Amino acid sequence: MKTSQIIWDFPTRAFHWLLVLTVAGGLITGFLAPDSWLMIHVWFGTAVLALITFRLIWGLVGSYHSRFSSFIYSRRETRDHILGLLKRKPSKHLGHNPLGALMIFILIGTLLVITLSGFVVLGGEEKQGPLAGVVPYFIGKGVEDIHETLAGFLLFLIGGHLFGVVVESLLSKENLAKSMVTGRKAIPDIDSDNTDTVKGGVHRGVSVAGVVGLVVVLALFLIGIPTISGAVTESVIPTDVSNTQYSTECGDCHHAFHPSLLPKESWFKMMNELDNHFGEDASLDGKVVQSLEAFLINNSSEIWDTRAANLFRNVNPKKPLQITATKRWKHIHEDVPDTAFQHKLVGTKTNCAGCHSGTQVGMFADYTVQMPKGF
Amino acid sequence: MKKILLLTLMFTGMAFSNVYAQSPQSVVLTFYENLQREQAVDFKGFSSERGQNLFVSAFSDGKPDIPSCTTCHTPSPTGTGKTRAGKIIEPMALSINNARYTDTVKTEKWFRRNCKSVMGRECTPREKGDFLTFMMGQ
Repeated sequence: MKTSQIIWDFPTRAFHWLLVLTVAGGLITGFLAPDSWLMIHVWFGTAVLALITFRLIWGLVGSYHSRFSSFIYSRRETRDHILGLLKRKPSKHLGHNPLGALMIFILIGTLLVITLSGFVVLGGEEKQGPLAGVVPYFIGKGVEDIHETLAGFLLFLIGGHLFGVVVESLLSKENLAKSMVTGRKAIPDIDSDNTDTVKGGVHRGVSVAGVVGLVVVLALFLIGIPTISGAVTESVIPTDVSNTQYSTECGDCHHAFHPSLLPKESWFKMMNELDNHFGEDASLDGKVVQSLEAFLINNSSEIWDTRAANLFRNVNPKKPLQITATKRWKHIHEDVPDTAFQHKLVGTKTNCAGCHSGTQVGMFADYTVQMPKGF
Repeated sequence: MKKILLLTLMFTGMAFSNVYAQSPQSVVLTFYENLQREQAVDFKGFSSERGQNLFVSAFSDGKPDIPSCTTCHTPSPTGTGKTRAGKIIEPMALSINNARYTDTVKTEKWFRRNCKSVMGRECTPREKGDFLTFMMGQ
């Protein structure tokens, strides 16, 4: 007579389905959603990292079939399983079979690298997140490729995982997806060629401890990481120019472009040509020029590591141009129609704050861009 | 009785002149008046009419695309103008913008730049005084 037994304890099942939801959220917001969803994407990534962290701990202290030690197979066992599979008579396992186990380890490893690399990108490029203070821009930029490539690879793994579940379900005539909901799997007849020792069920206390652990880890990550991020971010975000001498002297005529948008040589040259400032007389008292120049040079694109500073560090300093006339600027804004700049809430191309927020601190994050209505 | 009336008048007069003397705009205006007195012996006061004329006139010696103050400031002293770079210029008329003409250094800075741009030369203290007198009455 066939009976069934709890194989997957409740914390493992909760982990599995929460992972499905958060990975789906991360993939959808990563591949399909507009830039403005970045922080939601990061939230999903944080949750995935928390879940994976929990699973790594649970893999050591959870119930028998959740422990890694119960599904680490030798090469020989794996080979035998594959050979059996080809004969449509795979070796039977109550927990993960050798191929399933392999997939679990690859999935966990891939998700770990994806989420961690995500924080590297976030810290380097956006100067946000817990790594904002330690990752230089160019590293974040480089790691972005790894993050995206692995996300594509993840889609492939998910496909493989689902395919494996379907194949195994058909061959074993047992709905494995349902088992991941109920936790139960049929115990084979004693005289079948079952190689697995049936281990005792899951203690209630173990499940409760696991759920508490899962909730604690999730809360720690989802509250802790944004808190650390906030503290770290403050130290790497450039000087706020609002209510400074710079913003009144220069901001009277035009948007007070953050000093991190040009190299110091450009500023130096510009400040020495104020009586013909792009065709305009912008002459200032010598003392004012001196103190503005010091401010600009202390906050130039060489000083800061934001995306904007990195992108505008290499403009030709011998021929300072209006920032909006640089190749770089034009390239970044090539998809923006002229009518968007003419919108009454923007007015001109030089009004950065018309669409960007954080311009006063030299931050031009894509995810904060707010185009005027209709664009 | 006459004495009291006289004293009262004197005090109110002093009080008024005191208020007037303390207004930051009058400090700026006095700055130009003193400059003008140094240059011309026969200073007969600034003229709002001449100031208005200066504001609306077109000049040919400055930058061709900005022949007049009104090019950027709009023909009305109460109008909100726009800089070439697209920033809003608050109205010039003191009645709606009392932050104007409170700082001699700032006022000088803008006269220097804008007179050069529009007229191709710096303005004289009399022109500046006339202009301010006109705008302060608006």
